[in-house]
Order: sequence, then structure tokens, then C-alpha cells
Amino acid sequence: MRKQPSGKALSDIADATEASADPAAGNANYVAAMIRNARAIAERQDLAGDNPEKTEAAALTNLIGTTGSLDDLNRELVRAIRGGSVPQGTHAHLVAVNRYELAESNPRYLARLDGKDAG
Amino acid sequence: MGLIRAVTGHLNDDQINRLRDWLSAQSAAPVQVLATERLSGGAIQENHRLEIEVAGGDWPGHHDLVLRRDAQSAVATSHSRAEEYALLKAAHKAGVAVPTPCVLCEDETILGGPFFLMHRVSGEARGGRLIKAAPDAGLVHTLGANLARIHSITPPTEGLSFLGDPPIDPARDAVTQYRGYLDKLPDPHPAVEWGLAWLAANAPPPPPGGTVLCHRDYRTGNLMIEQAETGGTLSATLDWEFAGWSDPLEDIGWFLAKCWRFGRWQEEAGGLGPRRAFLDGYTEVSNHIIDPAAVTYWEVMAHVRWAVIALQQAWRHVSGEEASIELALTAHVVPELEAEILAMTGGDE
Repeated sequence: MRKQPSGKALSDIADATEASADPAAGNANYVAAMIRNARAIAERQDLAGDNPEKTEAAALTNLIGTTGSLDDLNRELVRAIRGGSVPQGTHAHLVAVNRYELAESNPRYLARLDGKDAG
Repeated sequence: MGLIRAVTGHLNDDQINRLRDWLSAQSAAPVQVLATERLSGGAIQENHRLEIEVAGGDWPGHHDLVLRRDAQSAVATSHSRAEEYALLKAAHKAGVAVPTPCVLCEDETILGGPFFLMHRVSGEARGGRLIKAAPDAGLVHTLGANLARIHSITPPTEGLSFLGDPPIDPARDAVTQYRGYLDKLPDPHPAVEWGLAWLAANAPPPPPGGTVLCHRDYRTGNLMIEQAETGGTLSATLDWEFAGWSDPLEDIGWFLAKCWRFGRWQEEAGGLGPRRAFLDGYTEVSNHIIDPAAVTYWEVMAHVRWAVIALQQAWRHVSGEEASIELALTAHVVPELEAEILAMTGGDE
């Protein structure tokens, strides 16, 4: 499940930050890099649409045997993990979800994990 | 009293005059404030360079200092300036590389809040810059030895009673605390929860030697290094905001954790050098040989702890408490941390 703030909110804060940024400030380059990063994440989420979260919800339904919103299903999984009744396949499910989140938040990190980017 | 010259910082003239008068009274001699300058960094605390000349009294001569106080936008944090000053004094006494603490002022009429002065140290602390220098086993050996000196401070220590009673079982206490933090967030985070379940199931017994003073943010980024381009020497341990009694392995795991290598993964000691050299430096001072498997547990803890903190920081933005692109982006560090947590804790199949 995507972390908050997700795409639209990231675009909004990037726009607001850019509008108020002081180009002469000592940290101007750092601020500009953050704006680029926020917009890049937003663009990747926009491109992926709701497909990753639909896939995640379907996988969760299969994993824990109930239906509901993505939020509800993840809450149920959290309860199961904390309660010690972890459904078989949970780790693989979490890895799969993590990979789509990384693909949106930091694809370079994912490439490094996969040995495709030496860093 | 002295003249004020070359004032370039954010302390206003009235504040500087009151500061000068207070310093004169403390030192029993006329004090000149030669320069002040707001130093970069520090959203919660402000650091100001302060250059003074004292004509006699208890502190004669020229002093290049740093004045540290709460920022105007300060949020409730774990330690006050007075407590941070006490930590610096204890660390300095134990031989830890820290800026020498000079004097604490709790009279809020001077600058509007408490502040303290410490000697200014030079060097580079930014992790992204430090890891570009050549890896150096000697430097990380020193960093390990410095951490062991912090850990030589044990409860009870005079002046540190504000740290409270030491935890009986630091690992299990941390799991309980982080679960509590997650419960206060609006979204479920099953991967972090998975990490916490692993930490609960694999928790070590309480440290056999008892708890020690842990910095709890001892990592590249909080260590001031001089001449990094030629091997580097440690000049100061910064940011004691999270210090407390804990298992010494918590600090070791935090320093070695992959998330604090600034992308230079192969140099396992903070992106700066080899793990072995860091642990050897620690052992040399502490006489404690570190079990690698025990450190792995605390490296998992480090990633979980950072993930929880990152989620809390992002929530400050999402909730409207503090609009900040930096806080907003912190949420998107969490998948990296979750990837490491999942990789270190294996599967259930």
C-alpha cells in the first residue's frame, strides 16, 4: 500500500515549495533536488495508476481469506502478524508489494538490489 | 564593556548586548562580542557561531564558540538544552570526542530561552560528502573506539538522572514502544510490523553487563570529521538528542546498518570503512568482543526504528502539522528500509 503522501499530494507540496523557494539560498540545490524527486515519484505513480494496489488487494484477499478495502485487508494482515498467526506466503507477499513501492519511490534502489545498478 | 563588530547573524542587537553583559558577569571580566553567525542546519535547534574576546577574569583571551539554543519552530524533543549540556559534560569527561562544553544559561531573559556555549570544532559531518573520500580503516577504528568511550558511561551517573531508570530489557522494550508508535499512525504498515514480529521472536536477553549510555543516533552524518580527504580524524560527536540508557549493541547496530551507508553499501561501517576495523576499535577500548550475530539483530532493529521515525515524520506533513517537502519525501525512504528488513528476516515458506 503506497505510503502517504502519495502522488497528488507530492505534486502539490513540490509546487508550493517551488513557488516559495529562494534561488539564492544556500540550500537551493538541495531544495531543487527534492522538488524533482517528489515530481518523479508522482509521475511514476500516475503512470502505474491503480494497478499495483488492485493487484495487492487481490493478493491480500487470497492470502488472508477475507474481502474488504485495501486498508482493511492490510489492517487484518497487521493483526495476524502481531498476533502470531501469520498466513503462509506472507513474506513473499510483502516482498512483492515492496518491489512495486520501490519501483515508484526509488527505482534505482530496486535496480541496485537486483544487481542492475552498481550505484 | 566591549564593542560589537561584524555582526552578521540572526541574533539581534538587543540579544547580543544582553549576551555580552551576561558573559561579562559570568567571566568577571569585560567581554567583546566580535562576531556572530547563524550556522546552517538544525531545524529543531539553532547553532550560532560566537567569537568573543575576554579581557581577563576566569576565561581570558579569544574564544571561537558555538551557541546552541532551541529554534523558534522547536517541537517537543527528548532532551532540553540543559540536559544536552549535561550529556556533553559527561561525554567530555569520559574522553569522548565532543565540543568542549563551556557554560549553560537557563535565564530566559537573555535570549528568550535556555542556551549553552561550547567550543567550535571544525570538520565535515555531511554523510554524502564524507563517503566520497577514500575508505579508511583507521578512521572507522577511531569511531569504534569513540563509541566504546560513550558506553563507558553507566547508570547511575551524576547529572544524568533525567535519563530515568535504565530499561531492564532494552530489545523487548523497543518492540513495545515502536508498536505503540505504529498504532498512532493512520495507515497499516505490515512490512514494518513483520520486522517487529521478528524482533520480538528473536529478542536477545538483557545485556549481561547492564545498560550503558547510548547515543542512539551514532552514525555517519552526526560525526564531525576533519581532513576526510586524507584519511580523516574525528573531531566531534554531534546531536545527542536521542541519548539514553540502552544495550550497547543498539548503537553498534545503528552505526553499521545499511541504511546509514549513504549508498556506499560495500563499506559496512557507515559507508566509511570496513566493519571489522570499527569493531576492533570498539573492542580495543571496551575489552568486549562483539558477536556478529548479535549485531545483526540490532541492524534489523535499526531499520525498523528508522522506518517508524520516517513514518512519524511524514505524518507531520500529511496531518497538516507542518507542511514540508522534506518531511513528505521521508515517507518514500520507507520502502528502502522495508526491503532491507524483509531481506534480513527471511521468509515463512
